[in-house]
Amino acid sequence: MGDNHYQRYVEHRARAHPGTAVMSERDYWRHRHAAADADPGARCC
Amino acid sequence: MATPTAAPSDRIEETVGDITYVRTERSRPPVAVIDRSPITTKHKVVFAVVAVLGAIAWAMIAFFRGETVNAVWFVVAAVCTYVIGYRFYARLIETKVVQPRDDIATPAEVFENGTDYLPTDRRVLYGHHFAAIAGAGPLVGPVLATQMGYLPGAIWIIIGAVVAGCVQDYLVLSISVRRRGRSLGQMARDELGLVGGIAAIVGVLVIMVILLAVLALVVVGALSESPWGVFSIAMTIPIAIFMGLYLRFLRPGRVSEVSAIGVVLLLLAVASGGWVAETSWGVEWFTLSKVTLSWCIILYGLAASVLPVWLLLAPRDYLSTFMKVGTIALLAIGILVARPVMEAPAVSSFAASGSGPVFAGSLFPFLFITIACGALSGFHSLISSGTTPKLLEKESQMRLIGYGGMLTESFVAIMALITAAILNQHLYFAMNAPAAATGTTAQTAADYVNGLGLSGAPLSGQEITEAARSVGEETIVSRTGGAPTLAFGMSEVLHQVFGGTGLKAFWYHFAIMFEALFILTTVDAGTRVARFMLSDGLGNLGGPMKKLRDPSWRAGAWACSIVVVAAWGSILLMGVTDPLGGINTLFPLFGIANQLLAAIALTVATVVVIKRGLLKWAWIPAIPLMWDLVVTMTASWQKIFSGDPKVGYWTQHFQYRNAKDAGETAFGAAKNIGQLDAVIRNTFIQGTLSVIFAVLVLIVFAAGVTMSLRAIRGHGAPLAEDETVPSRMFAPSGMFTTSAEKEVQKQWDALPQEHGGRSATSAGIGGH
Repeated sequence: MGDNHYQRYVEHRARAHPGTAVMSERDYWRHRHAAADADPGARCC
Repeated sequence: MATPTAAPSDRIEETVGDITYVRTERSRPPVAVIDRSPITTKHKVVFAVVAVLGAIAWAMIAFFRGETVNAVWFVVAAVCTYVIGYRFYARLIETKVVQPRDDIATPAEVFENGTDYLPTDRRVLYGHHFAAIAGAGPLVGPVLATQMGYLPGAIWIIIGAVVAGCVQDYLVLSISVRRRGRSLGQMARDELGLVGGIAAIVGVLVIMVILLAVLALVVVGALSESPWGVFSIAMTIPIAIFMGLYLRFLRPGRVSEVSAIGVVLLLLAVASGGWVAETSWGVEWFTLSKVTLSWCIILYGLAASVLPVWLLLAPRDYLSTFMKVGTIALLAIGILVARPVMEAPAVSSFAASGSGPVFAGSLFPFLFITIACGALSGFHSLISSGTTPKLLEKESQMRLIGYGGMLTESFVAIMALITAAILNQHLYFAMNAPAAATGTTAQTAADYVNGLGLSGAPLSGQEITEAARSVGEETIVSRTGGAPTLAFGMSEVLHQVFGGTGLKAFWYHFAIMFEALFILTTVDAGTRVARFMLSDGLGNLGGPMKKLRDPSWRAGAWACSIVVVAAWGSILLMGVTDPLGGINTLFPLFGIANQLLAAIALTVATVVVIKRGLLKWAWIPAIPLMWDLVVTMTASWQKIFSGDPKVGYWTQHFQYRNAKDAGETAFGAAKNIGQLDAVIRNTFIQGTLSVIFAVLVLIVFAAGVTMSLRAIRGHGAPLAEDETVPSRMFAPSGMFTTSAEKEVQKQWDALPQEHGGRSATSAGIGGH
């Protein structure tokens, strides 16, 4: 249900952009929700 | 994040026996395992047994005319057909048409950013995709279709899914994956040209509006005059807001934890609804008329589409996903344990006469319109393109996600059909015939259904009242829309397995809450999506409208939201005040809309298959496309031109108009001049919408035919596929990992982390 998304994100940053700043968990989820605000996924009937 | 450029693809193949290992870099383990081993004798035997078992089950359903047919035969027939379809037909589509290449990176891998592009474990993604495609549609349609008996619906749901619905979902997914997860509208523009593309985008928007209106109408039908239902649904809003605040301020990211808390609160809300409905203030506050409820839902939809997603939409989505998967599993267990028997006939007299009270029109084409979701649903193409490709690890997993996900939805539809078909048929029609026919009291309803010539013993008014009391309701007469019938059937099944008669009323309201919850989730998310489509579409017109493309412009967001809500809200109000009974006039329009969207998606799929030079295999998407066009065009034709006033909107329109012109103040179902005007207005709107839908789809289809002919003659536009990027990761293809895949996985796990070895964890669901 998304519990490990933040951990995945941290691992992704460490692998792809080592040494750069990483968002805190709180900011990460704010960012995710802001992205969903700007581009909602479709739902079905 | 920089866009990776297409590096020259090093494709290093190494074949051991029947298995080919593909590497994209010499120093790293293989990224793809291609297994060409022939089918083993053991598997041949297994599939032969499955096929024989399925054939027996089908024979039991179709030809057994003894006392009773057990519901378990439906489950067996469905599962065996799915297994054969998935193993053989989906495999054929995979090798001949989709031709997945696991050495190519998917959009999720190429653009991985740890947020919206996130390669996700295939089993988790399967759940995510299923939760996104399955809503109230596959539950409601089969219930209404039971008026024609259980057999036609069962055949269409199972066979339709295998050769039409799953094919559409799978192909659209595969096309979008090769195009960076582009949406259906964008792909239609790329592949069909400007005119076809615009018609597709406008079509999607108009269809979305009718979908939202009809789903909201189903909720209104389930909640009106039911204080218990209204209370428990109203409670979901504070519960969702609590979850939203919890996730934002208390414990960010603890999605499972907060969802578990939410589910417990939800069950409490359902249980406490029972005693609230017994208090005088509870009855006073929460007994709402259909019109009041409609306004509540309209205001809710508007609020939800402009509030930030973290507050209401995202937590509601988590809740609804949990409930969806849990309740469907519960119902499957209930059916297998309780093993109820069919009360409905295999084929009812309404199938041929077309005079059924639930929806008008004969079996062909209207059964195939009424059951859209569950057999072939155009809306899935909006999920298959866009959302799912951003989470997919490997192209070879698309068969599991796209084809397999739809099979699961088809199974949900079969369970809904069973749930409606095990009900006493007199009771079924008392609940589903419009109020104009039943006269709203238990006694008039009993008289009406006893006159329908149904099989089984006649029903007394007393028995109808008792049935309502048994589920904690005052009345169940003319509770149209399918949701109350399904809830009644579910309570019938579930109380036998869990909790006994004492819990029957709880299960009924649990089922109502579960349906209303995800219909409202669709209503708020759908309003939001439609708002974005509208502002995008208008923004593309240029000029002063350009400003609308900026999603942070609040005034623009509000304006577009109001336009969208006004559009579906007015159709909803039209439905609830319709003297003819809203569901039976609007549901066909909803079904036609959904199937026409499928026609757009299948046209895109067919054009792409032809453009890729696979003309020989174009029949795979073309067969469902042709069937779908024949069904929807026949239905549209009848809705527009039929001389039978029960079927044709315009015939009805002119009949009522002539009556009014002749100075009459009551005609047919209209009891006064206001209702007469309402029918004249509603049939005009419904007739006009039918014409618009049909014309838009014909434009898209014509564009598709033109593009295909050009491609066949060899001077067509090129495919809009993106350049490929070699993959640098590995993941198994099917639900179960094969031994060769396990070997390769071990090699990847052995890589040190800094060399790009993927962590063993995989992303969970809920990318919203």
